[in-house]
Amino acid sequence: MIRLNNVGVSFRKENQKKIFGKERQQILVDVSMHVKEKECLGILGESGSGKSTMGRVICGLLKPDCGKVEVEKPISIVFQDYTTSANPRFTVKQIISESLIVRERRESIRLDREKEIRKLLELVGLSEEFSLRYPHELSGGQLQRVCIARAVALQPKIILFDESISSLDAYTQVQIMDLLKEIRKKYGLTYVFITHDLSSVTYFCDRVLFLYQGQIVETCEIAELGKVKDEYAKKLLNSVVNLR
Amino acid sequence: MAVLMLGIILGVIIAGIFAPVVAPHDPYKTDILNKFAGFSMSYPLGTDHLGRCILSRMIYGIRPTLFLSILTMTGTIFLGMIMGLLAGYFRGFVDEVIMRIVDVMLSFPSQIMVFAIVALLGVDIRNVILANVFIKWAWYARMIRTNVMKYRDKNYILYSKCIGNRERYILFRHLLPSISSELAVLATLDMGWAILNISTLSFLKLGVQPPTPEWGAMLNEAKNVMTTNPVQMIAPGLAIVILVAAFHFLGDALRDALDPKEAEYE
Repeated sequence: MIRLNNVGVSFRKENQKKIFGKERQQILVDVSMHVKEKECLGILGESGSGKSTMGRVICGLLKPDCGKVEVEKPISIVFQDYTTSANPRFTVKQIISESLIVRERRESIRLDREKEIRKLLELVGLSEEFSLRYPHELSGGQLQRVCIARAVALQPKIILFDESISSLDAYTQVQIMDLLKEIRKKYGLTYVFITHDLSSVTYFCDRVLFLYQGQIVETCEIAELGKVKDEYAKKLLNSVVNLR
Repeated sequence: MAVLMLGIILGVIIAGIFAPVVAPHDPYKTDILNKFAGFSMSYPLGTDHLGRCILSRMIYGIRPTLFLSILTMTGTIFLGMIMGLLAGYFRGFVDEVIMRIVDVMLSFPSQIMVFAIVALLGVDIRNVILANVFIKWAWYARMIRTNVMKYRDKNYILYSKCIGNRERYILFRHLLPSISSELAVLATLDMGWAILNISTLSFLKLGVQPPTPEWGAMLNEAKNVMTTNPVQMIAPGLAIVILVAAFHFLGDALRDALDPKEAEYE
């Protein structure tokens, strides 16, 4: 489904030593990974480890400096910051319609949009009356549900979650994760789940990938999480255990 | 404040549209025996050097002054908007080409360029409008590009790009509505500038030609009798100042009203 081969990404540094300096900062170094069909892969790493950059490379928003990216389309995305992920001038109906329009064009079909939107809202546990509301009239959890409905409306093969539930409270997180599990089962989707929260990964994913300073340091199945060899991955695991 | 300014502007526009009803006299009718008449009931602002009713000429003068300015404003904003949108959204090569043209345009002294173009194409009001649009769009393209860049990395636009939505949809359904408030402010401020510019050119006999009543042209006619009959000059002069100021105040008020950050301090 997704295959990255030796991908490298770098940005021009903001604070250059010379006036017209060309120093670059390496964000991703020689990243290779793959995701199988219907798998849920967690990408775990601390802030600044390059997880979001990797997400952008996967969904085609960022062209890597080198390496090969193969991603099966269509792909959809749910962002962390729900406050800016929906156009504040759109109603919920229009927000979801955008995905439906793209799907209509892709499959060259006509959809009964009203019906589709009703079905999608029901799927994410919102009532029909929400369809005429604006984003600022919804709570964070509700808006994130709308964003999920929008992502599902596209009927994608892959959905990328970029810290999608990190900014929600613990109870809503569990609710949303259960919802996502259900959707995945129903449509047979592939998930890529970017997060810094280990507990949500263990709750949710099949396989986890540790990212540290732009490099993949360890990949393992969730069941074998106790057997990680890499120092950084161990440290990350321990830090969670210690907190409890 | 905004309501008052809007009232002034609307009043002027309505007076202009219904000029034949509102104006007490025919603006072209000369009455040489009655020239330089003072204030009276039939001539509220007196008459000019040819005995024409100044008030009627003022009211008829709204038409060219205001409507040509609206035309100029629409032209500049439209061209600037298209260029700014393209440059701000696509970046890269398109941005480079458009912005370098803009840089060149902005490095000309604008007033002199307008004169040059009018001189080149001939004295005609159409050429004046063309010249104004041609000179001023670059400034707006730059302003609008900055605004577009503020929005192009918002998540909802990234989402549209990610799922492969059409560029047309992103540009006209997402970006354009987002910058519309800034556009409205720019447009009102631009109106003031356009009125001034058209009046200036008419004053210099490069724009609207006599005997057509136009505020700038009326100022020019009045300059010879400035000391003996000052009303003839004060009336159109004051009218220009008030209208331009009204547009500027309205632009300011709009900016305050549309900027969420300003509202927090109140």
